[in-house]
Amino acid sequence: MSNVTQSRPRLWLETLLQVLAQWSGGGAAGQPAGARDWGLPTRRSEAWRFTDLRCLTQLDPTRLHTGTAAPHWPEAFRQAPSGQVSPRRLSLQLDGRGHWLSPQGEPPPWPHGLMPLPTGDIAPGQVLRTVIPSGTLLPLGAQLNGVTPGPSLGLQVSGPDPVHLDLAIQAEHAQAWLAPHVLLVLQPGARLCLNWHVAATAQAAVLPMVEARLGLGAQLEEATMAWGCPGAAFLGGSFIHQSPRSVYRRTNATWGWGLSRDEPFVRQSQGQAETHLHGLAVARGQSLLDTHSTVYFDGPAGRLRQRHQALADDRGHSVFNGRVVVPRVAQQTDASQLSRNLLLSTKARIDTKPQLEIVADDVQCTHGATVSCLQADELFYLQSRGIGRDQASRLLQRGFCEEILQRLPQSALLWPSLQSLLETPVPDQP
Amino acid sequence: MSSAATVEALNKTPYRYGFVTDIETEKISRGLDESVVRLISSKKQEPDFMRQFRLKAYAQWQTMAEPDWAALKYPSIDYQDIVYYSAPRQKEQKASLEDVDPVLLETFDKLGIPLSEQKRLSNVAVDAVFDSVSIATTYKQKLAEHGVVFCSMGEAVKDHPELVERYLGSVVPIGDNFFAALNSAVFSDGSFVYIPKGVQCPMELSTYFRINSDDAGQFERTLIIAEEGASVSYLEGCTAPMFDTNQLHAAVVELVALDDASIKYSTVQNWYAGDENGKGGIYNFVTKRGLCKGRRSRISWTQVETGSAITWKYPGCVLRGQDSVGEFYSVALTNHYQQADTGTKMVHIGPGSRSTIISKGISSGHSVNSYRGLVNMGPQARGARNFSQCDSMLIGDQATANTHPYIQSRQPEATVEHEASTCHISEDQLFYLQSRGIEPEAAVSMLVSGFCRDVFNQLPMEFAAEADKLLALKLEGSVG
Amino acid sequence: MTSTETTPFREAPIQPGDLLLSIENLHACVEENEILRGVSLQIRAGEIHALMGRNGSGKSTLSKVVAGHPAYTVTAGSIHYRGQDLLGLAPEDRARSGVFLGFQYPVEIPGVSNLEFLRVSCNARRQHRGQEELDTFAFEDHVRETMAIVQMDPAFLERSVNEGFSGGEKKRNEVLQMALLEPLVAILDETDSGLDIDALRIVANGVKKLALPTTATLLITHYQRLLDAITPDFVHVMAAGRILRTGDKDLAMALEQRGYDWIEEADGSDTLQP
Repeated sequence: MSNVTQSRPRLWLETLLQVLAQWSGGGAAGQPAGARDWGLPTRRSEAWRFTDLRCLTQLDPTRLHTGTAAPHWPEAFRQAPSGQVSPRRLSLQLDGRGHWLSPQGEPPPWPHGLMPLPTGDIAPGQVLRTVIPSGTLLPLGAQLNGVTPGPSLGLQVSGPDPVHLDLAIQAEHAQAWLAPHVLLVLQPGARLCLNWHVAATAQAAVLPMVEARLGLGAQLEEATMAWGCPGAAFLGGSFIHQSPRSVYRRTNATWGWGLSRDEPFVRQSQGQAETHLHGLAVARGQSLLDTHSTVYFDGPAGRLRQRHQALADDRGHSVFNGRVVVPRVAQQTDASQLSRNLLLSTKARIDTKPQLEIVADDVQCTHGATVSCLQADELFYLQSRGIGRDQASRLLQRGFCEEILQRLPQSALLWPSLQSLLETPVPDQP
Repeated sequence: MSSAATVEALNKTPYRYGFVTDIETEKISRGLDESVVRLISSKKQEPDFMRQFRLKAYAQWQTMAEPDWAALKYPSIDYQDIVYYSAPRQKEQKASLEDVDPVLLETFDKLGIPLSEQKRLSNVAVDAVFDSVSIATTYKQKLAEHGVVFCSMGEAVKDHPELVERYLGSVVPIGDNFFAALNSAVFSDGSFVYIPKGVQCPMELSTYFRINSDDAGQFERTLIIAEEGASVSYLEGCTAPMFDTNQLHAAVVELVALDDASIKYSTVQNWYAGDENGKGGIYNFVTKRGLCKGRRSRISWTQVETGSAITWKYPGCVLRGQDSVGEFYSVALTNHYQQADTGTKMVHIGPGSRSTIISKGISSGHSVNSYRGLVNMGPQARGARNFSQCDSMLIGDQATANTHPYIQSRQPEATVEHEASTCHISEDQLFYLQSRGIEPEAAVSMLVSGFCRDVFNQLPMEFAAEADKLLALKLEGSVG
Repeated sequence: MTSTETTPFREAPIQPGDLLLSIENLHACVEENEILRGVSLQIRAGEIHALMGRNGSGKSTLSKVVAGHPAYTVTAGSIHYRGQDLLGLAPEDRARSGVFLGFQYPVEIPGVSNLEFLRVSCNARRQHRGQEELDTFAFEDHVRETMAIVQMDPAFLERSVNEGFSGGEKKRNEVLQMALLEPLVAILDETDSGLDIDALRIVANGVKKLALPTTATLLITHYQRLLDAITPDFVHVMAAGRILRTGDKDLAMALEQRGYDWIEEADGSDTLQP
């Protein structure tokens, strides 16, 4: 690699840091503490999972802004007063000054069971630091989110009845840089359903970061629909600290972005918890969709069910790197991971690497990976029932997506964006 | 008795091949520079193309860094502290076996590889390599009648320079990786096999590698060429004495199969693995690759890896020929403080190429056993298929098993399927066998050998039973 | 504890009526739970015993404790086999000296060939009895003959131990092992469950053939139907870890008609506590 190509992203990063430092009103460009954990990923630091960051570095740091547009809330949300569809449901959207407001543009009335944490207690990184071992390169999204001032949302969740929280972000203007940070503290037994609706229709970057600490027996269901466009970048990360008997379910669907890099990191701090990760990545056009997940069992009898499905068509490229770490303390761990991939074009590309790292003998761990195009016999079966080849192909692709999408909450289906994914493939874009 | 209780040092069987042969050797002084490379070349009286090959490799090696991506931990190797040429001093040219030093013959006898005419293994031709040098090759005459060439690499350079020049480095380029470059610069000997068009090699070919000295690295080079429609089955065995220090073994094996040719390459690797505290043992950094050059060609790797302190080894196939077939069957067993990072690379280039990977890793003691495998479907590999199965068995709660499959596809009409699982010896299985009168150690080795059966089935008959025994031997002391 | 350190029994000739297995006041627990709470049972050569009782009454536990399963801890009482303490022996030594357990759920062992397993096991027992070990060929002849007893297809020899066997095939494989090991005391844990009529007949005939005046059999079962085929000399009813009542085949008939409640009521309700 020549010095020129190496220094360009570095220069970009330095400029970006200066700009972000000005945003926060600070003086010198501050690189966060622990420089070893910090920096752009390079081919050397991650020979396998290196992502081409061009889509991100093509943004002009000097022109970045935090402008947003009103999300396209489904009818039910818009009509509800103050965004409260029901007493235990809160819907919020990000405004251009970094505030979370209701779909009607009002400050939120907190539903029972949700309580904002004091501003002083919600600095980014506090859960992340307990989840990711020090000395490892931090996920890119988390790094950049961490140096972007606000908007931060810190909530304490309590009570056994589920609380629903919808967060919507719409990036409609070029050079928008939206880096919301959400910190969730779930009290023992508390239940929260967090639904993200992220959409970008311009050359912009959205970098949401979730940190959550799940108390004993708490349950967090996180569903993300991230719909982008060519030129837009999505850098997501969820950093989850699970106590025993807690349940974390994460379902996400990602499509349309020029670049997406999603990095969930889950640590079962004493095992005995349940983690479900379900991801769908649909890479058409020139989309590069990248998922790196890590699940770390720090105690016995933990359980993981993970399924990542990716579809690559046109010049799309999907990367999956799933790590499961089972140290000696994690006896009786039961973990399974599956990476299923559909490769539909000769210009498209699938890279996948499920990984198991085990130092415990009494465990049940499996993983599997498949890469293929649509099954000929399935296509033929549909054709023999009078369905045209194209339509049959679309039906099968839709079926492939549905396997993950059916895990999204009912309310997700109200969003028009999801309909767009299901009804027609996104046309080939330059 | 629980399986955990059963698995505790029962019997520390010493490594059976740990003796040192007392023989006068010719060694050059430690260290490596260009003059050493030239010296090795001139000692072997090589033609110019070989010298150039070595010098180019040396130049390349100097620009390279030791790879660090494997899950291996070892103190850095001082490449200037190694002797790069060591050979038993014997008569100038060994015209026949009678000229081979009896001490060497005796050594191989002790290793169970009799070389003298009357005691030879029937139907297996053996090339015996002692430290860096081939000392004898049996059944040469009989093989020659079929047009099969089986000789040391040194002889091949002299007698078949055109084949060597054409194929050496054609599968593993000199700059392929750090260790391959080092080998290309300093390799001293190894085996050469050439099977002419249409010939089915009439006997098993086998090379037996013996490291004897404690400061010499072993850098052998093997090249096997199977012409159109030819076939051969080749087996490699290795042992080394027990030293407190580590010895470097950096071999390169290249296989070339033309149209309809088939090469079956089996390894039973039993280098000294170090003691139960991880002291001593061989550092085994090996590059093995087969090129399925022709249509419908087939290359099959079977390995039983039980030795070495460090194993870094990924025998692979480049499936260039249309409808060519690559296979990899592996058992890797680690005990005590052994570390193995091993797997395969299946690079599908040709349409309709197929590959199968069956890997069985068994980790016990404090060892680390990693499977690392690449399956790559290139843009032209229409209709290609791969199936991989990687199973790990853990014995005891101090051992590590990692699985790192890398799957890359650029061809929609190619299919890749990968499965991996982890298991341990269940208490119920152990009790069931015990309740039928079978002792715990025998039960464990029965279960382990059952776990490995898919791979053992691939070994040539003569060696399958050996492998089974070797495994049982290696497991002793790990079962408790 | 390794099996090599223990002295194996020498098998002296047995006369009908010799005491083979003697269980005295046996208490055993798994983890913290006491399952056996004072079982006493004596079995003599030439006898067939049936052990009945509800699920969870401790029948299977008793069989596993006799065979030496590591999950159970004996907290009190004793088991003597032919006058010697059985509890000090490793499971394999118990098997070699002639105690056999036919499992209720035989485990599947992938990759280990059934033939090889049977040969090693059979030879371990033969060696103990001072008989010559059988080589591969001799054993194959022997096992093929023996398979006829349970009408098993020799194709099963080529498969992995119990892997992919149906319920009935697994049970026949157990009886085949019993035939090969020629035990003096055979405990068959619900060998009849999950069998259809034909398979039941085959298994029952096999067991009958193997029950000699010099051996003893303990049948653990829920159902009368096995006892229609094999008439027991004694029928024991177990509940809450004890033998509540012992009778002859009529007791089994009564159980079939009236269930277990009347016995448990008659014997006092304190034993019903879990």
